[in-house]
Amino acid sequence: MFPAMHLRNRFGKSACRLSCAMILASAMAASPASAEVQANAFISQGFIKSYDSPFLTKDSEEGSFKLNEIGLNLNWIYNSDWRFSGQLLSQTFGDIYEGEPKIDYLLADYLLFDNGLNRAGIRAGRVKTPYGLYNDSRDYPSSRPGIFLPSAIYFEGLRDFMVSTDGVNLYSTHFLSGGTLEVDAYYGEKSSSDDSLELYLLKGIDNRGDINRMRKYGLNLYFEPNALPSMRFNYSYMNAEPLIDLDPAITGLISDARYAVGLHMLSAQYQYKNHIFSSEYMDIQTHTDIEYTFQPSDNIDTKGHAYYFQWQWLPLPSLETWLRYSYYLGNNDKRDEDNLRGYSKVSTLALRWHILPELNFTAQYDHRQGHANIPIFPEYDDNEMDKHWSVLSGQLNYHKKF
Amino acid sequence: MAIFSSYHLKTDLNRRKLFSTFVGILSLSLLLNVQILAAADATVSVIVHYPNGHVVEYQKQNAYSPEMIDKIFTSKLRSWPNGLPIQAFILPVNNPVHREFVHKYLNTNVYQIQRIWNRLIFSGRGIAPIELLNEEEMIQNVYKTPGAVGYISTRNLYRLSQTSILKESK
Repeated sequence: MFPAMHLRNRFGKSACRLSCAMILASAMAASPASAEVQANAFISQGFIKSYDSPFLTKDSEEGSFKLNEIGLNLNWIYNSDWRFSGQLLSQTFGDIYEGEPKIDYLLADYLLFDNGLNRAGIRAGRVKTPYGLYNDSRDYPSSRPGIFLPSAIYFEGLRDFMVSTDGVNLYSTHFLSGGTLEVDAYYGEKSSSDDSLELYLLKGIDNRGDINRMRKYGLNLYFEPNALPSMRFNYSYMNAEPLIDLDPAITGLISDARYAVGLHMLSAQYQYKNHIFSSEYMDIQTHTDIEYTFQPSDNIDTKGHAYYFQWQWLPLPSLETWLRYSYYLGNNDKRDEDNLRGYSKVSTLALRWHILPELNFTAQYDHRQGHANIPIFPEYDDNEMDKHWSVLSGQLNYHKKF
Repeated sequence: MAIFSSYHLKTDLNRRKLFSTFVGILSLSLLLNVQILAAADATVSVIVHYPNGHVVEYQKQNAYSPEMIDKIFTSKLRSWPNGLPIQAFILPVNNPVHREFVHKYLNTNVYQIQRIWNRLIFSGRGIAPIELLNEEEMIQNVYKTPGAVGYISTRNLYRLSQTSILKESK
């Protein structure tokens, strides 16, 4: 059955810490019509039940409530040039993230210039990673198309590494004759105290080394053409290099190991009345160098790709629905479907009912084939995974402005 | 073989249950949302704090182009051509005037525009327009904030001249 007591204690602790922060935020925030300080908070509680394979936690086939998020967000405009912003977040995500509060982002934003038609600035600190249509707002439940983003593109198992970067972000906006262009470039590192990256890359074999840091840089271009105001285009490039600290036990055999992945992604979105069509295509290139002590080094290059098509329909003012198909293939040369972690095909149906402006309920059903990019939780066992499986999830989200 | 068939039968039953659950949730949502549909009927006008200090209907001024409205309310355009910072005000999501404004001027729906604002708020990229309680607050805030822009129902436009007279008499 559900570990209710344990869950309550864990949930209670993080909720208590964040509640204190929310009280502080509401005290700091002025009236609702103040432009200087804006505070927002959200809380969500979800339920997952998987069929034929566990998902996020080994208990998911019996049903699990280990899915909640609590966030507190502050924006402080110091003057027309300086702005400060941060978000405290607690996430319980199956057995992957256990609800410990963490600084999701914390940044200082300096506006270099703004002449109306062109604007540029720099953000420094822990900055969100602009990548595709959804990455930089993926922590806020109501911003996601359903409960879970398509893992084929957004690597759910590497959320902490994907979502932000400790470094700098140069940004600019340009109003051109052809449309509006937004440019972002970033560079930095991201570390995490959890083992998600190690589990993801080394499949839980913990005697090879530690991987708790990732170096990242990238570029994001977002364009809205004037001739087609209902269309949006986005191009993202991300280069990520996990920094591998080899275990002393194997450094006698392997002297160095390096891994890098380059992601190119094209996104398009088109809105026609109450219908929004979105698609993102990603090209994945990996490079691995392993230098052995007593034999020639290995250099392995792979290429893969992923995409999804999504139809969002709002049949009623308070109801959103999504239908999505996503596909991922890690290595274009290995199209066999025996390696379940090498590919995935996911059909998704989701709906969100806005009960009140601040309260909504989301339900999602995924029919899945393959297990690529599925987060690896402790006690994950390849032998328990079926090729065809499914996940039903529900989530109640509440949002409050102070 | 028998075990295999029984497994498939079980899986099939599970999926049928899931489908029924989804249909149930959808039907409930449809039922509860019928009333909301009836409420969304209002004609809306954009108002702006003009450089001369008056608040005017956006369509009846010449300083700013109509294409700017969409850029302003999606927080892309943040200063007027004269360098003055833009301050956009909005009404609550369930206000019919807000729904009409989003539909008519931003060519989208309230949840899509909310997603754009949430992206700004929760990614640390910026701030969303400031939400006010009602049209009364909207008129007052646009009057007292240079560079402000907002919207009210068209039938309330007459109040702009009244508020202007009150302000000048003080």
